[in-house]
Amino acid sequence: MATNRSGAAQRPNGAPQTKVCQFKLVLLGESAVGKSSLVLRFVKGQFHEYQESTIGAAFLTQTVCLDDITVKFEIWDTAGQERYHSLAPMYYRGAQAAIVVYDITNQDTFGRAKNWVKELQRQASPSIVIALAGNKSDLAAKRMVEFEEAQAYADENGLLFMETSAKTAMNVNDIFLAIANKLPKSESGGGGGGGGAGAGARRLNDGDAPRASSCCK
Amino acid sequence: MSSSSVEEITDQSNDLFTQDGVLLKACSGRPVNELNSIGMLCIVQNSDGTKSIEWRPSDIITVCAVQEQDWALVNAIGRRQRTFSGNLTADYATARARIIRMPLNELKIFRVTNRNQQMSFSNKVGVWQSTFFFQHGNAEVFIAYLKSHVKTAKSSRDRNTYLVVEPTDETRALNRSFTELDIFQENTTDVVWNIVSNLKERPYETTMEAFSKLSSIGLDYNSGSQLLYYGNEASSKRDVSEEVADLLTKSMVAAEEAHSVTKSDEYEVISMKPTLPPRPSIPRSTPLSQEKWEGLQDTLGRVTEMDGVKQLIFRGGVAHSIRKQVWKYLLDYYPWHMTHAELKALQKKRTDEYYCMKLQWRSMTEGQESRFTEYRDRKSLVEKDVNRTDRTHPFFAGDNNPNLETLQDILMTYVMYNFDLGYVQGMSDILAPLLLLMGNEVDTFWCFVGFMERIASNFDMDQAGMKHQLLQLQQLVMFASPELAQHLALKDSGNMYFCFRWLLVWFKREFSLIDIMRLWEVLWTGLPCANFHLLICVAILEAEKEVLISGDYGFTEILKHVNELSMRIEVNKVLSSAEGIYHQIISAPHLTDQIRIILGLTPLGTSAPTEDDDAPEATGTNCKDNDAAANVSTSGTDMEEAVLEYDGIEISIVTQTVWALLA
Ligand SMILES: Nc1nc2c(ncn2[C@@H]2O[C@H](COP(=O)(O)OP(=O)(O)OP(=O)(O)O)[C@@H](O)[C@H]2O)c(=O)[nH]1
Ligand SMILES: [Mg+2]
Repeated sequence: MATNRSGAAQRPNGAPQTKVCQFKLVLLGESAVGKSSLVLRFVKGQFHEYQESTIGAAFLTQTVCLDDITVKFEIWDTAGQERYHSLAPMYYRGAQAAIVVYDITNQDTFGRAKNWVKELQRQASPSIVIALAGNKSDLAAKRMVEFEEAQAYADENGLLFMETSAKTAMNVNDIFLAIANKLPKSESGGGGGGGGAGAGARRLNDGDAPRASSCCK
Repeated sequence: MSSSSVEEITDQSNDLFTQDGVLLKACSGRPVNELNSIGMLCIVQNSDGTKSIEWRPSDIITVCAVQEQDWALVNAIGRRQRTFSGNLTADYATARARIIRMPLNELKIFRVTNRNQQMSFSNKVGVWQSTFFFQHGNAEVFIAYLKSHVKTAKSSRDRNTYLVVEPTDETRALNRSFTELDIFQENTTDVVWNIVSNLKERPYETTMEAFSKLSSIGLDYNSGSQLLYYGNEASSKRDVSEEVADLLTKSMVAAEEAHSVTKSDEYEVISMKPTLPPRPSIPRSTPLSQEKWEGLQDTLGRVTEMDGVKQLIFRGGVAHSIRKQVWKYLLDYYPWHMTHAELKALQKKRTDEYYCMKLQWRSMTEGQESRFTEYRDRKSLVEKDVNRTDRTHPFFAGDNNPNLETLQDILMTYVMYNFDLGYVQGMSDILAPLLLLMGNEVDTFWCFVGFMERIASNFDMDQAGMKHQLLQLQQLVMFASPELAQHLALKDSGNMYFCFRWLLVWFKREFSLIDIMRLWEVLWTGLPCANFHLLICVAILEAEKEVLISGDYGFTEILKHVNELSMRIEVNKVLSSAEGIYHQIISAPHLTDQIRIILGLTPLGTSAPTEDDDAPEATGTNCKDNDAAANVSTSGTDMEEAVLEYDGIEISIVTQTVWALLA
């Protein structure tokens, strides 16, 4: 992919008048898996080793360009600790996309991610696009969750899946772009043939692979 | 909407939302003389879990026996405590039969008309079954809450008409989450929570004057030739009442401009919208200095003027050089009355206790740990958070910083001290400034225990403490800043969750470490009233009111804006305006018991009902309500009482010592 990996995501500088779509995206996952770090990397191109824990929720926006369309993400970053679980529905309500994050060095966080996926499939909007992010891929030496295991789970559940690193920026822009590509833009009528399918029926084909934008650079 | 028999209504039902000052304008199947009576429109949860919209005439609420003279009873509202605990007289039973209710699962359609002041409901499309007029002109708030219980779609033909659609899974989930955490639903029986009751003691009398005048006005009803009367003898035709409502609307809209006199050919309305008295600007004072602090201790080291010290700290905080010492008292680690010698013994005892608890987890073997999931969970939470608490501050910065280990040790020992509460995210934020100041592990621990003692309910498993505070905050905002409250309610933010972070860690994330020390020490004094930290919230929000309202900020923008205030709030300014707001609230003529209770004042309604009895004297603190203020300041019997005056508002200072020190 030709995206700039270390910098911020593409901005629509100089882009011609394109259609703008706005999507609400929520990040869920156990505490300290790197939700806030992923958002910070995507929105500001930064990484803080000592990113403070999230209390309540945070809200940020970022705009990315696809070939013919500008996508504005409204991003809700939630607090991960189980104690604050009951706040989450307030934030995933009406979300068109979710990134469920786990930490590849911690098996428990993967279990927790699966629970979030289940909850979203049950309770969020049926057309929600869910991506699974195995974060901290830079810590491969301490890996506890195998890539294949997570990929298989994602395939079964029709989730986008990538291993990411907020620290090195690997796959961070890419996962957001992949989501942007998969989201139904209103003119295409809710994603063509997949429009009526429930979340469980979603599959990521090769044809859906994220395309880097050419309108920004 | 069906009229219900007495048996149908059990007092088990729980009010989720209530709106005062709602006039019954029309209801199919109801006798004419019941129309135009005033009451309360509620969303209630029935004992079987279903919900209904319910309208209760005010006389049943006030347990007022008057039935015939509709207007006479109105004067009783607002003064009486509304309660169901009165005697169930025959009149009461009759009154109860006038309750109108509609189960929410039967509600099909509703609409808002007359500049959002009138609402009609029905369980079938094509005919409106009941119509209500909102005297305070705030049907929006009711609608906002109604929409949190039913899923609606706007009618394609009429923007003001809402169709109730089947709840989707998503809304069910949302509702479930609201049930778990939200303040709109059950588990709030302790606070019969009454969202608009803040506004309840509005001067109905004046508004009622308008109604009584209208009731004797003959309306020249254009389309018909007859002269119709509004009032008990009026025709039951609904359109007539709508006509009258239009008239009223005009007067109400005019009345919106705070205090106004509206004149027209036929009628005159004098209305007053209760407003708070002007906010006094109360200057902050200088911090309690070492010199003064030493002067306040006797030769043995006892602090005899605890109230005075607290007053001084409330006014100006504590000088940094003596913080370390003073905080131990403020956080209940050191009792004020102890001598140096006694404190020394206490410290020794607490040190032993601390190391004993520390040893409990320090001596845990790996094997033990592997079979102790709950302990392991707590430990891993602590580790995650210690690693990312205030790391930008030099005291906690850098790898292998020993202060991180101290944080970890204190939090783990606290886990042993209070295993049930354990460790919850946010606690490390509370601890960090304490350690930064104290330096010493044992002292920090016991100060942390004292702080946690005050805020443990913030970390309740079921979030009960947070819910309760958010609810109280909502009530305070409603009282102190009704326009803002209305805006928030309209933007799905009435539950105040955007203040979650403020309350959870007492503003720790909003201020620099040095400022948070100032704020906390002031709040720990417990002055000038209970829950002053909620008034800090009100003060911050009040300062942002213009931005939030004129920018028409919605759910997301509100949260974003509030989060972004972090590090941009001036601590002294906010303390000063919060104190100003406190004085505004307690001097407001329409101060309600609900607010009194939040601020720790004696409610009027539950004490002896006779007002001429001894005025509710402030006990222990200098808080007192307005009625009492005059008495106290003129009595002059208490030589220790000093009264300062700012902008016409009197602020009492407890002791002469303090007065002298302040001067
Ligand atoms: N090595 C490495 N560390 C990371 C990565 N992403 C995040 N971290 C670190 O993991 C810790 C937690 O990251 P956060 O982004 O605060 O985690 P969170 O999921 O937002 O946590 P909560 O707000 O508590 O729910 C921080 O110390 C980050 O520096 C990553 O990709 N690689
Ligand atoms: Mg976070």
